[in-house]
Amino acid sequence: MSQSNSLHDVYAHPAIREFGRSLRLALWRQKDFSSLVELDGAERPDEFAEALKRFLRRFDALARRQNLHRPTQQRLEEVTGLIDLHGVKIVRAAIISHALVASTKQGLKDEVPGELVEEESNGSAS
Amino acid sequence: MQFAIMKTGLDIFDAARAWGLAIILSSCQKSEVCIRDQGWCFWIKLVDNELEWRDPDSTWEIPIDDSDENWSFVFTTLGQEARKQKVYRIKSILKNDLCREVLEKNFAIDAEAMVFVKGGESLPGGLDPSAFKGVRQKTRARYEEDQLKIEKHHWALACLGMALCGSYQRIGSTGIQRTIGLLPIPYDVTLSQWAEVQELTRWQRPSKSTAQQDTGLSKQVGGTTVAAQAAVQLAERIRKRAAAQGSLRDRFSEIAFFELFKTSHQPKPAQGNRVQLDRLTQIILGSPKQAEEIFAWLDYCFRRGSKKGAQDLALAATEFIFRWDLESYYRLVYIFVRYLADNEIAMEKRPNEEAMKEVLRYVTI
Repeated sequence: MSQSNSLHDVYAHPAIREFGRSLRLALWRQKDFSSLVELDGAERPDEFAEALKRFLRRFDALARRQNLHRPTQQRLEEVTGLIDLHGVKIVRAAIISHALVASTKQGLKDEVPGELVEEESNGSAS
Repeated sequence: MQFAIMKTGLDIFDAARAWGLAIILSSCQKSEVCIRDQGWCFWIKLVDNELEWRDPDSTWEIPIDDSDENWSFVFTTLGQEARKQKVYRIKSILKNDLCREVLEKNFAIDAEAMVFVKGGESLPGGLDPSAFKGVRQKTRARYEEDQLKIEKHHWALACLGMALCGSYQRIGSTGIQRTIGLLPIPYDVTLSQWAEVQELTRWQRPSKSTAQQDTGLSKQVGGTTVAAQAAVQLAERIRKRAAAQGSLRDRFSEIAFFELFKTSHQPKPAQGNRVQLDRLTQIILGSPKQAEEIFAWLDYCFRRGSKKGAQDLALAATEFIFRWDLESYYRLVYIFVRYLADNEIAMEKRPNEEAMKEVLRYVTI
């Protein structure tokens, strides 16, 4: 066991960032817990790729409705390549890490619906 | 000039003696005092290398506050009156004996054989749980194990060190009353004023006001969780100090902790362990710009996890601070994302992208 840059590198990969951001939006805006659970439950590379495809299908409706950027087929292939290279655990941890971060202050406004921001400022969530 | 505190194998007792001697020297000498862990001993060194009394008229007093609640935890097995007498005895030993011998006659505290002596003072169990009977050797049908007797100077230094640099906190919400004791172990620390060490190493017991101010330790259910949160907060204190001084001068190797639980007679030891601080120190050194954000996020995980129903977040953060591996990291972020999506955590509490990137640098695969 050693400190490795592989997780750090995977996290910085544009395809991972794109999928992570999409997952973030899917979670906040349409409460897509199914995708989160499916990604968590996938152990083999083929299961994980399948979970990503299902996530994209769910995200597609939201992306079309709210005019959001949707990860392309090429990005999906890049993620699949990273899974083959680093394994499911590292790629999954990197995608979910993106799902929890705040990219910028402006990002918060883009990602969170107005009502939710108001609720939080009133201290509903601690 | 330097003094050696030889290690005996009782981790908390050894570190407490080192803190005690450093505080004594720092309070009465003009020089800065440096504590360095050499593996087999702690060096306590006067930076200016000469003995020079801060107060030449010797009106100097031992920096002991009799009303400090820590004394009741250090001497947890004693009654109030016996405790007062012990504190008085510590003052007397330190001022009349130790300072004359150690400081004026240049006597080095370095003989291991002198630490454990017959007829010495009993090492209190609230200072180091190794002192409790039944921990050092098996007590079979008859309960005959003797007290661990310590030479008086070492005993006084250890009690002083633990009372001034250690922290105690009640844990658990219901059932048997439990207490956790924490003591940061110095690796290389320099003190210019003895009081400043307390700002680094001590935590106030949680109260409603501290909880509202988002400072101090949260009231956690488990002892390991308290220790892990203390590690994060200690790292933040070191970071602030390093930022003020321009470089990272003070380093701690770990935080030693132990739990005591109440029985019908007197408290007994439950468990003990150490939280390593090397990864947190690496973050301060390697990612100084993001360290504040990282520590704030980790501390928030403990703070939010101290609330009813969210303890899994605190436990996941604890596991991560202890292990720093991929599994524990993944568990923490997964739970955090779940809480975020459930609106259980405010969006403002999320770490930024760069801070997360830095955390990943220190995760072991």
